Amino acid sequence: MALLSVRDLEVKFFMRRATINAVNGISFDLDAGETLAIVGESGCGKSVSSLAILGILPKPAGKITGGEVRFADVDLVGLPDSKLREIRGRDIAMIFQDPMTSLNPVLRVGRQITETLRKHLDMGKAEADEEARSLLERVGIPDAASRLRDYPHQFSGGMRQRVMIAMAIACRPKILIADEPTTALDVTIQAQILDLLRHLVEEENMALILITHDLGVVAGICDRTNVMYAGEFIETAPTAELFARPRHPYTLGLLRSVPRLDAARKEKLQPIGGTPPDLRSRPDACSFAPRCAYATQESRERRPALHQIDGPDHFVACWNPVPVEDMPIQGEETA
Amino acid sequence: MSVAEAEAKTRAVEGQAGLWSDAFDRLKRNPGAVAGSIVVVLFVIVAVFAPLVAPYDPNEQVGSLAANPEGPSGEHWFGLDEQGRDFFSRVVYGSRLSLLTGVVSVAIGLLFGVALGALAGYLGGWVDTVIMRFMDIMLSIPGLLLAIAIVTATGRGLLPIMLAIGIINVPVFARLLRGSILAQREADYVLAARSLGATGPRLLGVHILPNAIAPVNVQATLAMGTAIIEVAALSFLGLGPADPGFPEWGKMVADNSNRLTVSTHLIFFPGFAIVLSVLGINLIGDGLREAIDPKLRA
Amino acid sequence: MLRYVVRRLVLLVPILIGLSILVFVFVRSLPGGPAIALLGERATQESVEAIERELGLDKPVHEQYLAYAGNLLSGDLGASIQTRRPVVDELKDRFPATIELGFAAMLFAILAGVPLGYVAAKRYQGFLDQSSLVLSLIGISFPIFFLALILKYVFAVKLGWLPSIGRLDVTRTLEHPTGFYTLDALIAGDFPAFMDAVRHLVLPAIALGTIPLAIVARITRAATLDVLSEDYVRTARAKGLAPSVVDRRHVMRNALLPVVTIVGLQTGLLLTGAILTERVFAWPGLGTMIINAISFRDYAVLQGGLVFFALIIVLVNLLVDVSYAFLNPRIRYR
Repeated sequence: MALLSVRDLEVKFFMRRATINAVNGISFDLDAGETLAIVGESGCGKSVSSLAILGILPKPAGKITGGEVRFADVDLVGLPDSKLREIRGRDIAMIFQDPMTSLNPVLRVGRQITETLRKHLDMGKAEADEEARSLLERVGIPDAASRLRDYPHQFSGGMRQRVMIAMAIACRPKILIADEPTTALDVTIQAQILDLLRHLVEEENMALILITHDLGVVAGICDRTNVMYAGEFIETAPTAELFARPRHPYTLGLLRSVPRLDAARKEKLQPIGGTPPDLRSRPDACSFAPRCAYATQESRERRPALHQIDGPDHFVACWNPVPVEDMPIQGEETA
Repeated sequence: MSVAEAEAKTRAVEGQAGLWSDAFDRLKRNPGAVAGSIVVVLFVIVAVFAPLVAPYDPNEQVGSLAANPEGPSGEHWFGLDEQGRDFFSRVVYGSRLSLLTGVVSVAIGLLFGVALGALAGYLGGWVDTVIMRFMDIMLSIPGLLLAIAIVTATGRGLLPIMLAIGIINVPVFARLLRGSILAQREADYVLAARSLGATGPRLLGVHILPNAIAPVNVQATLAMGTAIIEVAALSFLGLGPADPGFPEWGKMVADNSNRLTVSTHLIFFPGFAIVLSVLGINLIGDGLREAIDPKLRA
Repeated sequence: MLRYVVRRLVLLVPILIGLSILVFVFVRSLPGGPAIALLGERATQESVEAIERELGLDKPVHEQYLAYAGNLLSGDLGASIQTRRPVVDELKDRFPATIELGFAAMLFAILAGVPLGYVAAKRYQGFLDQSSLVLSLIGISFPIFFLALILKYVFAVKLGWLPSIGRLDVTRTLEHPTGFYTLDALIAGDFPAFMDAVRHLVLPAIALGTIPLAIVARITRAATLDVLSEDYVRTARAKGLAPSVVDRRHVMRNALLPVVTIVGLQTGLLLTGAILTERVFAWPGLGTMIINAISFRDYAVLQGGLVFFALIIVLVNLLVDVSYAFLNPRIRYR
């Protein structure tokens, strides 16, 4: 049985003038220790999905309107907030995109770590302080004992993200959700943070959901990758397979827009033309069709569902998948 | 092209006119601002056409002298005062002085405040330091207190009062405009204008000021309401316009405050006239602030 | 932290010098000049000349200023022409009444304004939010003296619930070691006197506190709205903290920062408002003193009141900046 099983999750934002269909029925399973990526452009619903799993959608506009989120065989959707709070931060923890704004500026860093420990693990003050110190050491912050008494603004961006990670893993959660954990950081720091995440996940046997717009980030870390577009998964496959044989035109577009150092590809970087669709309406059509070079008449008339393609673990939602000869590299991709 | 992009393009093309007509459109949809405008327009009409609106001369004795003057009636809507004058006519004429002092004193404040703020913000350096230090000192003295000092030093009268209220507004406007100019100076469009060769006064007048003035406009509106209250307060303290026959709302309240128990109408009518006119102005100012700064809206 | 306080204190110096120059100019521009200002309009020619010599008015202006500033520093503000007492003594007698009133008004404004603004933000665009906005706008449209008169009329005259004038019932005797009557009553252990002093405080404090209340509520609302949409509040929720803990520890702590500043900025408003409120409620404080000074042309007292008010404001602002730095680590460690 999967640790986390999301089925047909649907999230809508009820604004004054319009309703936004942010997440439109996504499903996935996550086993203990598995690492999973959700990849897509900003606004595709990937962050909203993670907030929905934790039950912390922005109030009062955001609501889960359908589907279930089973964690340890309990459906989190519709669970009273008091029960959800016992899971949040303890069993499922989250790292956010911008470490500059995600830490409370007026509380000492130590306090922000210990408050999780004391809430979920019933630790006393001294015990929690000691644990916070060792957590900071684990995430690679030098001079941890004295840094506990510092405030967030006294840390650099990368160090702050390390603090965020220490906070998230404080209670040894079973699932860690990292929402664009490196986007706001310098390129050199990005690699360090990703390394740290990879090691922690392995050591603790945590399951990881990595949310990013950057396929380059996914490559070295995630077992499986879901590509999200307009609130739906449009392709899902083991990461190596997806890199080698992207079948959805959007996935191909994403891959082509990632710069690569291995020079295996001689083509130029190609941006995806057009803009993401308006999520207020949801016509019965492939939502990528207006931007797609492979779109057919059918793409514009019926919405495609995920179906198996190529291997047993590869699914795509497309009426006219990318033919094999259009693929970036054949065979020996090292993902 | 998305709707937002299209809007942004149109706005860029329309430029300044677009910004203001946009703000005006938003203002028209704000029920509070509309109500405020109606109230203010009514007061302005009453003030301008006071001789037509008022049934009596405000200084004419039409009833008997009385320690307990009669209250409101069909004949005298707001009753009579202790000298037997028609109180409605007096309150009507009182609007003239209040609105006049409000407008003139804010104009005085704007004149000096904008000049000093623009100098400080545009020139920077030691000019900025000297001007702003001085403004800080002025700001550390509460407005009404400063006004009391000025009126005491210059003697009572209409002009000193307007001058005093105007002066206490100077540092507020100067600070606002300076901050706003500093923000605009580094804005991309100013750098662009500079790179195209716009310099000196033209850069300030054509490119920076029109964009930097928005917060000052809002403050000026709100200051007009405050000015009316401050003039009334000075009158209440016995520092009003020297002519005792001059009907002024604050003075009416002050003169009759010891008759609170017997002739409430002599306090409540001029008092509520102040509240209503100031509320009208504040509603407009508030609506203006929201209209100009769309960030404040949901 | 200490260095910050010291730097702020040093910055005070130019402001104080500037203030003293302003007051110097003010006194010199009074009708009849400073001699008349100090002696009154009916002073004889000889006494005017005597005081002008004494004040050194025959000397150059910068020497005059230095002498004047020296007097200020040594606390010599001249004497009242009404009472013949030193102005400093008048100030000492009267300032507790005004401070007590101002403190009560601010307490009222904060205790009512912060919760009001906070609840309005939590119910953003709801009925309570909209009506609190309208109410606060009406609040700031009221001249203080008119509001004071209405309160007095309704609650003292018509309903008779509260006393209408003074600080204490005239029949009551109370020792005044501090001049703060509520404090004096507590020191004396006289509970009925304490309640009496509080009852006398209620109406003036509400009249004086209403505008600050409206402003505090608006700022609290705006600041809370800002903070509620911050990422760190989301982080706190993601930790599984209870809503009450998120609100208290993460929202309020940040939202109150601008409120502290705004409370400091109200000092000036409170002091000038006190002048008007004191007149309506016959409150024997600095405001009443200043009004008397105006009508009797007692310029020495007026000047003293002016300097004293300005001093209080400067000091309170210093206090607010320091406490702001204490609350906001980003400033403390700069």
